[in-house]
Amino acid sequence: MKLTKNLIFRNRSIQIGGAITLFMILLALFAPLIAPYPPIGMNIPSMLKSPSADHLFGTDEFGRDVLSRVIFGARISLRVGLSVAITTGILGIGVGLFAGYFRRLDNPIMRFLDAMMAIPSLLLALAIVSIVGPSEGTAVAALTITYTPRTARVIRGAVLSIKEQYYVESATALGAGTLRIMIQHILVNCIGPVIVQQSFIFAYAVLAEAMLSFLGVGPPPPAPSWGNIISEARGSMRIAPWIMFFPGIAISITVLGINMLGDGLRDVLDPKSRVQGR
Amino acid sequence: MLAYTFRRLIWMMWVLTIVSILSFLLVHLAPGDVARVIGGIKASEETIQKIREQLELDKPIPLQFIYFLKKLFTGELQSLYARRSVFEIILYKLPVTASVALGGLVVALLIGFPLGLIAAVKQGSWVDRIGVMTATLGVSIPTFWLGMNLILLFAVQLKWLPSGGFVRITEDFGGWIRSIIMPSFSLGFVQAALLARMTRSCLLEVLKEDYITTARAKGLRESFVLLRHALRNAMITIVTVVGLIFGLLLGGAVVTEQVFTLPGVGRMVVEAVSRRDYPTVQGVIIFIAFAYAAVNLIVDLLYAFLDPRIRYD
Repeated sequence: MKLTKNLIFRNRSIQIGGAITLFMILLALFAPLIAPYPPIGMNIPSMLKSPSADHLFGTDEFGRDVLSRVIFGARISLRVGLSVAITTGILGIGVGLFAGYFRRLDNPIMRFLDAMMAIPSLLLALAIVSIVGPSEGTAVAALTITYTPRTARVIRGAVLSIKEQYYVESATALGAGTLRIMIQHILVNCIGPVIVQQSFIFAYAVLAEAMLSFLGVGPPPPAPSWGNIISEARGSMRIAPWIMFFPGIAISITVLGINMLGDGLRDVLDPKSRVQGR
Repeated sequence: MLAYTFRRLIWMMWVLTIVSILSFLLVHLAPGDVARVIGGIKASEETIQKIREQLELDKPIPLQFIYFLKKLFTGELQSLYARRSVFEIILYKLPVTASVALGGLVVALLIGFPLGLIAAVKQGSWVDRIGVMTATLGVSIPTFWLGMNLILLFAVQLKWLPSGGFVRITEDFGGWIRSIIMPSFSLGFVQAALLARMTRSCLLEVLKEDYITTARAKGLRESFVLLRHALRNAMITIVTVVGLIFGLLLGGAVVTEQVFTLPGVGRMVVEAVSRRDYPTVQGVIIFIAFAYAAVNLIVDLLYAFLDPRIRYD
């Protein structure tokens, strides 16, 4: 355990990726204290100003400060990303454990997941949101449904290999119950792959939320999210490119940070899976 | 091989059956009266009745599903607004999406494969580090944002390429190429990054094998060892990735077509979503899942052909 801890803190991509992720989370948490202007509300005199000392990232067509909107935008983007990572984690563990542990359930569950993965994730999320109606909650739910099969597959794979280990066999021989074996012996040992997978899902979800918002079905305006700032900025892209430029940078840096964190964690926690990419 | 092909075909049928059940049920996720949700608040009683009839919402759900399947197989799934069959519209729009997806695949292969190859051969060098960095960055940039930046640079500033729109290949070949360069690049860049990572890690794994050491010990030229021994074996995994990438490209086309205002299947589905034209949404989902499953079937068969061990799993 101590060895793992050392490895985690010495890993370069965990250091950099972790720092970026932490920075963005702090930015989101303390947005009202950090942002120089309010993120919503019109201010016509300062419409479409290019970046300057007063407005580092310029202003948009309602005169709102883009920097402040980007800082506040971190809230929705990260909230959606984190929620999706957590919910898919829980659901994926459940489904994956059952599929991996009970042989009879394995085939039907896996076929079902295969089918879900045959629908492009963005399309599935788009369809769900369109029917239930756009909101932050629906975005989380839609992305959870879309990404759970990925986590479930990873868990199932881990369970299948762990199940064959001698210590599981000896636990069974000692008369340990199914639930006890599933949780104490199997789940504990596939925590590594789960953490790695969930960090990548966090990154995917931040990107996917931006795409949904860009398509106009994400969390609705005026509350800023990185995706809907870019979406709104499309019309004035030619005269005021800075409005769409900075939120895109924010998305890229955040997702890069989370991906680096995930890569680092994989190197430490789950070195075997490196070959498969992800 | 025949038995394997058969097994995979059955698998594909299963997947498609489940996909059609899922997309059928999707409509019933709507809160309240489905017909009213589709028609909107302002719709008259008459319109709502018409929608109800067209979707056969007054029948019990299992019966509705049978009708849905029948429409699906006879190709009679009607769009709520266009008065044409959904598959007819898809086929008309398909060349746009296919052009962009294929363009994206070409970009992914042209950039991703060499990048991964060089990074693996020069493992640990600065080339490798830059390659790995680029690949990580590539999977982190939102495609639509990349596309918008490309438009600003190449269409607005330099005026080299059109900022959007599609020219059919049958009308003007040069125009077709020009109209898909930017969309293909913005779509393919992410996949290039994925492919580069994959190629690198696969090749590194293969290079550790004993037969590579043997080949080197025999005094073979390094380029020969790489191309004939290592790459051939790494190829198997890479082929699978290409199948996967194709699926991602089909999905990514939804956003890319929106950015470059291309009249393809992706734009069609976004429009259908905003008009609550559910039969169209269902048709597109099933069609894309079919395309994805078909590509993966071909990839799997190719894979089994290249590596006989697979067939006996």
